[in-house]
Amino acid sequence: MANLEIIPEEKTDVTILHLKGFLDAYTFQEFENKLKELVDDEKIKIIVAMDELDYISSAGLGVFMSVIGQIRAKGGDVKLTQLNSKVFKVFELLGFTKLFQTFDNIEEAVDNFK
Amino acid sequence: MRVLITGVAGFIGSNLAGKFLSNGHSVIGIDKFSDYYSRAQKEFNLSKLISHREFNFIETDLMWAGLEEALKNSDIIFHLAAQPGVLHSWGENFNIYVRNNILATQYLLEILKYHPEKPLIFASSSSVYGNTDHIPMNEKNILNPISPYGLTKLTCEKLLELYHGAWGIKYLCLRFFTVFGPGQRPDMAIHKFLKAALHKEKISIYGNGEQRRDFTYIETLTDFLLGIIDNKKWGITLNVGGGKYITVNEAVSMISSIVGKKLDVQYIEKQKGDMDETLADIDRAAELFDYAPSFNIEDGIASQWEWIKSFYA
Repeated sequence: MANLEIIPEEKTDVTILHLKGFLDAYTFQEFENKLKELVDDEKIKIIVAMDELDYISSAGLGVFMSVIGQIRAKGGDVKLTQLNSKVFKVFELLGFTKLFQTFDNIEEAVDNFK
Repeated sequence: MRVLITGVAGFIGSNLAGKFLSNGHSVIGIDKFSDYYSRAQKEFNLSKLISHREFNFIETDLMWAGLEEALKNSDIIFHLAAQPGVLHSWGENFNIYVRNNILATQYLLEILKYHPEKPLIFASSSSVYGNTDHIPMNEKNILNPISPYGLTKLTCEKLLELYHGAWGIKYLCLRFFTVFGPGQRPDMAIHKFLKAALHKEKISIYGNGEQRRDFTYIETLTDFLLGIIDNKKWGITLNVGGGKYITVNEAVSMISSIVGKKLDVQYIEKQKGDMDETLADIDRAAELFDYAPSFNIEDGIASQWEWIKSFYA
């Protein structure tokens, strides 16, 4: 079974979550819990960096949908960066690129929060 | 063409995806990795596809909100995802068959009614016929399935007809007959027999082994499916079989000859839902689509034997 590693990083008022590995039915809960923890702490400007995310399933995608309403209602957002071509294609095919902004690098995403 | 295949990690789905990719098409593959058989085999099936730049895989249940977007991004849909297996469809498992076969198909049709320009190719089964006194099985035969699995497939066929009539959905309903070859499901007879031969184990045959089966080689089927993507005739149901049959005992003899040793056979009680014989009347497929299967069963089993040895190595 493949694992997911989540490495948080703070840049001013923006929280960056670096994902590494597989985001699927076995690992999505860990990611969801992390996002909910940020929301509870009012850290609602979130960047998910995916350059080392190898795989995402619908269970992983579902996490984004489950939290985004709450985050945006509080005035925050989730932005995605550095999706590899396969992961980007999955987001695109399922219409997620219409719902979430994607960026080539973290700096652009941070600037977009300003 | 952009082809969406449901059940892409399965036996037929993965072979079909490979066929489309090697012929210059792009494939969106969907699979939920149901637990009917091992995820390891399905991942093995996908391993030859996953790095192809025109292959995009989405691990998801069909009845998930994102499906409509995926469908919008495709030109034609091959709906192969299903809960397979005649013998397991009795008892408390039946609700799984209802959900994964009937409800999932109806869910897909509900989306397609808003996109009626996108054709749907549906994988049905010889199981819809049941034990019939009219052999070969013709599409006009009375349908009388003898397993809950066959009943769910028949219900799906009726749903296709309904949605075609009410919403103009373009469909082809194809009844498959015991497809075999590299990647075959582990619960199917030839896979089980070859695996037993590899591991020097006894094989079990239901009944006396004289039940006859119309076997269809996987590449014959995928060649046919590749050939129908430009089809303009819809609302049709047809058999896609080999057009000839052999007994299970004859298949065992062939396997013995291919693997070079006599199989250790035991005969066990016939299973409820197991049909006595299947044989496709393929005249309609021949007439409408020039279908003319010409594979050799022994050659097909020999290919599957090579696959079995690599998979279980």
